[in-house]
Amino acid sequence: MALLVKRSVKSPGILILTVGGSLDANTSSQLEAEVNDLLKGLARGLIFDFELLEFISSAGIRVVLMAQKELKKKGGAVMMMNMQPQIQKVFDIIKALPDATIFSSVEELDDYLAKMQESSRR
Amino acid sequence: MKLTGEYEAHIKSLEKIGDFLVRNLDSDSLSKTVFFDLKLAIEEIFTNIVKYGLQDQQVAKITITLQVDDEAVHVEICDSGIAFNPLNAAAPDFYIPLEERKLGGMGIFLVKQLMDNVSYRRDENRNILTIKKNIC
Repeated sequence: MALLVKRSVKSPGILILTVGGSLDANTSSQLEAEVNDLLKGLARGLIFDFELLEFISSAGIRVVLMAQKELKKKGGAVMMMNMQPQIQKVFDIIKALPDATIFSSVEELDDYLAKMQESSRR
Repeated sequence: MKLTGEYEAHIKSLEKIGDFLVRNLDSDSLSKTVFFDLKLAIEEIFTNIVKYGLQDQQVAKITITLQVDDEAVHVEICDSGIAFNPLNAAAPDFYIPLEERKLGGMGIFLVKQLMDNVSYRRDENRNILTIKKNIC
């Protein structure tokens, strides 16, 4: 199964990576290259949309953690949304989630981003 | 019934292994969770052998044997590399903040958590890793 990665802009500085298919040891370098490219630009927030993701292994989780680590250095954050239960379970087992923000829907994410913007205006 | 697949010790083989698993395990009698967990465990073990176990060899094959009975799926993963027991890898240290945590050992930790039994033996110059996942 191949990996699908699509990039879109949610709002200025906030990017969405829609990741679908299989994020495994064979395909994770594709996502890694995409993330590294995004990190070169200015990004305060990176949202992984995992709705279409069917499979993830530790190689895939490494890329998400790498993104989290690099963005945190720049004062940004990684967010995740639409995780299927089997994907969430893998993150749970290696306790990779406490530092990340997870949303179950676009509405939830929008609320969060609106609040984030409000607080940055103050 | 036993089903065996033989694969080049290369990360690229994962795609073929995925097909092999879909063909032989992805059926109505197995839950999606069981299939997902097995696929994950097999990929982690395979990747681990490719990365660490076969460094001394130019060409090597890894064989995967599946056996399903009423209670469980049994998988045997064999290679003829130097003696290497991946189960000895240290588990990730969860007390260290994620940013500083070394990411090695994560795959094998997942295997141990997701499977009902995992064991290693060395037999006639082969490494044999056996995993078992209960069906119900």
